Amino acid sequence: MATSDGNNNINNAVNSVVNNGGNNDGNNKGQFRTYLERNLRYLTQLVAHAEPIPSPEIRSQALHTLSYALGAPESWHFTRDLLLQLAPKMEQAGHRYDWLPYLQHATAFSQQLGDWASTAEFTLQQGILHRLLSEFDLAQSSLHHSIALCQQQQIDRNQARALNELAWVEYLQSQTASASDHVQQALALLPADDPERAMCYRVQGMIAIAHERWSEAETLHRQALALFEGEGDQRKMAWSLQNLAYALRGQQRFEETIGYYEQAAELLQQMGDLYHWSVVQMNLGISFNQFGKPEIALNHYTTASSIPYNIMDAFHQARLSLNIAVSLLALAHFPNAESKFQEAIQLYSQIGSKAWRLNAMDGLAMTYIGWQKFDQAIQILQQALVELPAVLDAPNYPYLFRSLHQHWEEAHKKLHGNSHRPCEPPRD
Amino acid sequence: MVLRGAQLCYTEHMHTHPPNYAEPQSARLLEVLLSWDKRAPIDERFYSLRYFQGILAEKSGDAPLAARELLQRAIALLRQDKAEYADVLLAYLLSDEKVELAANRLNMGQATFHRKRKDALPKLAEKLEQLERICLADHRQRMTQRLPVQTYLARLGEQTEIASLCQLLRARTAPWLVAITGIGGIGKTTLADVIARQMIDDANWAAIGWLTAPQSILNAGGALATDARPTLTDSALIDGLASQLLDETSPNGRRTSAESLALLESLLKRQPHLIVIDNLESEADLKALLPTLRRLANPSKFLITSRSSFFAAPDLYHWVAPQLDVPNALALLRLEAQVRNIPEVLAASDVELLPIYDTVGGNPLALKLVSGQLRIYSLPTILEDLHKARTSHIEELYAHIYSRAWNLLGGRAQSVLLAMPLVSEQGGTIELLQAMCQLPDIDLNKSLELLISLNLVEVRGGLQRRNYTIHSLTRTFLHEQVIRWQQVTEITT
Repeated sequence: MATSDGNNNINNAVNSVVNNGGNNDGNNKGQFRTYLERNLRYLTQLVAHAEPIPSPEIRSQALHTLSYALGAPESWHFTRDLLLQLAPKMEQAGHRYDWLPYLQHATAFSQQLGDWASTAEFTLQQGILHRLLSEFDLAQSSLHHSIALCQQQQIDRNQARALNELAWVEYLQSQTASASDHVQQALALLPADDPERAMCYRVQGMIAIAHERWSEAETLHRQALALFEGEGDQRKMAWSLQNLAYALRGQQRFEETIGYYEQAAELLQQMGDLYHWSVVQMNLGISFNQFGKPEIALNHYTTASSIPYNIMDAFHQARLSLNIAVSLLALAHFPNAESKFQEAIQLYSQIGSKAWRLNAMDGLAMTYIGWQKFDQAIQILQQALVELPAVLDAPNYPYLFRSLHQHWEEAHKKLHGNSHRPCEPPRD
Repeated sequence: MVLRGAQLCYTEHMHTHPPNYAEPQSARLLEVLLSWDKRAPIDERFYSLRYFQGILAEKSGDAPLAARELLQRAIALLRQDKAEYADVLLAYLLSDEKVELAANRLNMGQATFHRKRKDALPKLAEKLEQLERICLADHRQRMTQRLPVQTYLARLGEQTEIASLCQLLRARTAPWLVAITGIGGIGKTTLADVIARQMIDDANWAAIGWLTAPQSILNAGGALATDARPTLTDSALIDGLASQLLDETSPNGRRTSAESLALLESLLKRQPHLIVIDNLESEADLKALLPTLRRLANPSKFLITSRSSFFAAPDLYHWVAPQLDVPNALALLRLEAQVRNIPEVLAASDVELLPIYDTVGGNPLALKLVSGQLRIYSLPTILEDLHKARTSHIEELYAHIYSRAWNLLGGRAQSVLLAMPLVSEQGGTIELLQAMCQLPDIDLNKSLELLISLNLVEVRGGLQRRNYTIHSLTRTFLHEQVIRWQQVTEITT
């Protein structure tokens, strides 16, 4: 048992060591801060030169360093530089929920320090992450905040970037009118030769696709591709190749479609951008399904599903489920198609995508019709038709209206026989 | 009903087999094949194959279907060498076709059919063995990758204590939650690692998992984060387990934590797993996780390492990591001396070294730290110094040992050590250290050598690339030294 004298001896011994080593006591904290700043500068260089993405070791070290740095206001400009280099690459490497707290912390810290330009950038990055997590409301909220700050600080280019990102989120939610407006605002802020205009064309191209204006979409995506090629931005080139393929698919130019998708997939794989590579695989599947090859389509969907679960967001999963269901339906695998359509319906509900949910319900009805379960088809279609008016503004509303009504009539005729006149479909 | 039956079968057959997946002998498998009867229950020797267990899981516990699949795969492998053997075996083992019809179909007489069958069965047994070897090797690699990098040279200590802990874990009864507790540096993580590595081939476990709780965070002011939040949250636990255990079985789809938890529960209830959760520092850490661990446990087991005990949890079995006994403590000192080339220690007798044990006890880290100091100071000097501290609590002793080590370093080595908290737990390169310390190469290298020799810095990595990091206890000491200096400064000003 330690005696009081024994304890005093220990404390004296320890303190004497500390105090003797403590000629530099006052400098130790300063020295540690110097090390922190050098560490930050070194990592910033490493991250800047790491192509396409920093190694897992560098990323792990960066997060460790940031856990210290985000409590050191005096070192803020070094911390900020690392964060700005790191943010897009962490997203590209597939970091989501593990990276988000650092961005949130960085936002709060920069706000505290009154660094509004940095706050605007970090909220933009948060918006991108929320979008990739299918958290669209949070994405919009972050992006609006970023836009407001950029406007306040008169940082036109960054405001345009945030507007483009917001437009993209709106496009994903079928809010194409709003998306168009925001893209126009972004274009107005950008000089004629600014490469960021490519992102505007990208959104406009996808809006055109949503409205099946294929030729216009092709022109816009080629413009975007040319600008990205000029900048040497391989990742965005890959996105454009993919979008261009989509526009060509709508024009039934199938060989070109497959060629561009495959180019995009190769680039994205080289970039380590597994998420967007998975999207390309899905699109390849859709193309093969359209070409009448559902078995090959299913292979591509399986490949698309093979990415780590933490970068597979609900929106992408919903699309995959839907497309798998469509291929299964084409193969008359009704039980599996039913299951996948139901999964898609549930996922679209989860992310609040009403129009696509109705599309999935239509698919489920088609499955029941093929399966000769006409009463179940009618039940689903009934529900869908009641909900249809809620998506009046969606670009695919005309298609949904036509298709749901057509299947409603078909199901009734098959249930009751051709001579039977089906009752009017339900209206809101 | 089928699944339930299969689960019972799985459990029952676990008891009849030796505790490890011994290398399968094709002779044993040949016996199974020779006595093969399509209508009979599946031979229990199949259940000892990990490869078969995997197929059984794929077939939702349908043992006859799984056995069929196993044989088909082995026959497909055999076909690459001898197609005619494959055809004969398919007919003999998996078809209801009568022998005379099969032989006729294969354009051979019955005698030839039987002769080929007799020749083919040993070959098939070899293929089954091959498949099992590949499966075991793959399983070992995957499980080993989940474990942290092995940093200890050897885990000395009573093998009986490891054996008794292993027996406790293997038992198909409670306790389902076992905590290895003890002070820092006693070897809790090493013990858990040794056990986990032993269990990799153990037929009791479908798989092994390992999660390490992050250490408390330091801010640049030098203050240790003192909030009471657990360092390993519930959602981090679930996400960590899901990424290890679920990705392999259900790769599709982003899941919420609740969905992951449900899937984990289903998996861990269906197949026993051994999960290690390392480095839970505090009672708050344990308390936060216990509800989830209870939900996931049984028949799976959790092995937790922690500096704290939590006796308020009646279902948590506490296993206190013992100190090394005298022979093993002296063996560790000599092992360290051998690695670090301290011939004087190697040459010292037990009687000469015993006072070290009398003072610091059998704590491996303390022994390693002291052995490092023996490079610099004579044994009597160290003993005299330790003698003053020998009545103190072990953690005060650590402070003393570290302070002593700090004093040995000199300015440059001290400055290098001061930078080390900024290196991640996985380790940093020499280039990172150079970027921070900005010392001439020769000075940095010398400082690093000294720090390594004093066991203040650990070396990780392989031949092509070395990383450097510090033990968590060293990190804690440095954090507190920074605080202490800061506090001293504040007091004097």
